[in-house]
Amino acid sequence: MNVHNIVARLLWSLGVIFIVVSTTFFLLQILPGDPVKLMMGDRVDPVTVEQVREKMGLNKPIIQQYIDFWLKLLRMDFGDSYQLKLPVIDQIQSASVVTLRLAFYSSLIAVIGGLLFGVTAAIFRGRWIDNLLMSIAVFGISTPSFWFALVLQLIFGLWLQWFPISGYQAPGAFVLPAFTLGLRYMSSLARLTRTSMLEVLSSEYLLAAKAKGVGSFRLIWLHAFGNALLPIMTFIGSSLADMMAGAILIEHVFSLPGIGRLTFDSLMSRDLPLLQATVVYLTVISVGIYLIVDFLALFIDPRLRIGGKRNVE
Amino acid sequence: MDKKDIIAKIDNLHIDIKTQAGIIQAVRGVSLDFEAHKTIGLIGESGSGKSMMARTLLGLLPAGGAITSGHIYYNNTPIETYTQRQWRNLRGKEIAMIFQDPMHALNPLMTIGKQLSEAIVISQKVSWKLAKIQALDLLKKVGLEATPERYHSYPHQYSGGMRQRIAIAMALSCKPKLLICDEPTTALDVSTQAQIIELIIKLQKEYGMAILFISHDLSLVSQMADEIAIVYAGRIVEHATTKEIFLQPKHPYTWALLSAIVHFQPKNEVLYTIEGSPPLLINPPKGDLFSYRSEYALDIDFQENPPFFEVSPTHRVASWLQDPRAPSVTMPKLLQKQIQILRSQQEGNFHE
Repeated sequence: MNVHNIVARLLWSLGVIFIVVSTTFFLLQILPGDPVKLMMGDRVDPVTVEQVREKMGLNKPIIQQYIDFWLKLLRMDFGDSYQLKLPVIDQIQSASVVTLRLAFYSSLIAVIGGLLFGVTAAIFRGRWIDNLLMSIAVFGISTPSFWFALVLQLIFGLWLQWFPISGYQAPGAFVLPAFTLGLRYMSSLARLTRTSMLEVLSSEYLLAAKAKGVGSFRLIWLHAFGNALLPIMTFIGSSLADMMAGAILIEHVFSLPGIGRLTFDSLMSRDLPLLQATVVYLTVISVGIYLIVDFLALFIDPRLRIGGKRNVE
Repeated sequence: MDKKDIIAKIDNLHIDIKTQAGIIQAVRGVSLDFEAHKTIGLIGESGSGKSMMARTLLGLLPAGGAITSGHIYYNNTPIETYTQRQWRNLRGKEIAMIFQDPMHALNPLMTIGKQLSEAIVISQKVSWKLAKIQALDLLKKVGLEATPERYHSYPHQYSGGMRQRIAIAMALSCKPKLLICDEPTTALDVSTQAQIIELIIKLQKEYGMAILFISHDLSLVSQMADEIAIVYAGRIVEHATTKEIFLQPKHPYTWALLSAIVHFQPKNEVLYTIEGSPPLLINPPKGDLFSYRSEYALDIDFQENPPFFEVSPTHRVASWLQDPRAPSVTMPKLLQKQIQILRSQQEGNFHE
């Protein structure tokens, strides 16, 4: 991999963003329901509707609208939302602060817990600790998160009163939602890590490392872990992207005004500028995370970085 | 013990492996002495238990595997009851191993220099700086350039033969007393095979270690082994000097293996194969397990396992055919002829 490839990879990412944003723009045009009518109610006279339509540029040809949309986008101008009449960018910003905090705590739980659980389970394969950890993982995967959230609210919010059950400003407000969201990804990650780790542990290079007398700590964390990490990095990346997209159910249950709810509300009210802006935001985040994952893989795996077999006997 | 310089010894070793299908009796009573400067070739089909014998010498039996009886001695100390910590002091310091598949025996994420230095740091407890100097030295010793560029390169940048050289360098970093080679050339092409064998012979002369060379290729092993032990279904069936195995084979299985060597066979004839396959070692039947595939089987072969009969001080055979009461049986005509030719051509050419 050289500079040329890195530039190509970056251009490709930009291409993905362009295609996703464009596709969303056209798809939103065929969404049923008239945004102007939804915004103003049913009993407005047609003349006023036409005036508003013209003011918002909705009567122009679709291609013209598309070009205008991109021109504004490049100036980071997402317009005002139909419903709240506020700049879209402000709404996205305040919602993303909540979502990013939630995603940050959840991903800490998911990644640290998932990797530790998976590695531990693999080391103690078939023993009680493996069974215990994998039972927790199966529980985490198969439990519906809204139900789990309610149970946590009941126990830790109402009975024990340790943490608030809703809102995002009180101290400790993120504990229950982050735990609910994190548990799900942690469980999947733990299972994947265990599988990947078991495969590496049975590899010949690990046996060879043991044969040269490498101690168990070094064996697990220096020799095995990096190799086990490679196939699960993509999963970690997609989990992070998911979490940053906001979890509608969890945001709902805990009354968190995050990106998930913003997307959902804007969709329900046909708030086109807001909806388009959230799609742009989510696309950029996902593409960005996958880009980071790719570069991390490049950093870890020399086979991707350096061409092979230049030295032949 | 006599004057021989015995490094290690396995004595009537039995290994069982617990699997979901049942208990596999992988090794069923094997004894071998490993002597400095000497190479023992261990020959057997896949699943005959030869890799288990190798791994048990490093305390690296797979999950479910355990020694059920017998002993392993290293420097006259029994080591089969060693704890993991004690094994670690032996592994990569006194006993080293080279693996079958050089493509998979090196960590793909670590530079070969680091992997080599790691072995040196562990076995000799020196600083990484010093280890690097030694590592470069070792690279030269196994026939690779000792350049920093080599040191900082990764396994995937090398061909199979070169990776095996690196693996050999790693095994030698601790100047082992006993080196186990588990089919080190099986995954390589023929010309590379010869180079690796030559390298191992050269390094044995220099370091004087005992070698256990595991293979299924009898003619390959004859190039370097002082003694050959033929393994069938977890037991040694014939054990002799290389010359004796080739010129006076006694066991029907050895006959079959020799007959199957390609350059032993006349041209334009169907290649000789041994009918059937080795038995599963879960609840194996009584008696000599090769008798089920042997045309020379006697009734007693199905009743009772043959003991070792001594043909010469260096030659033992586990076959009832050696019993004085057994009918006299001679090896196949074709093999007799081939051995005759071999005797006239190669007398004195065996590795000794």
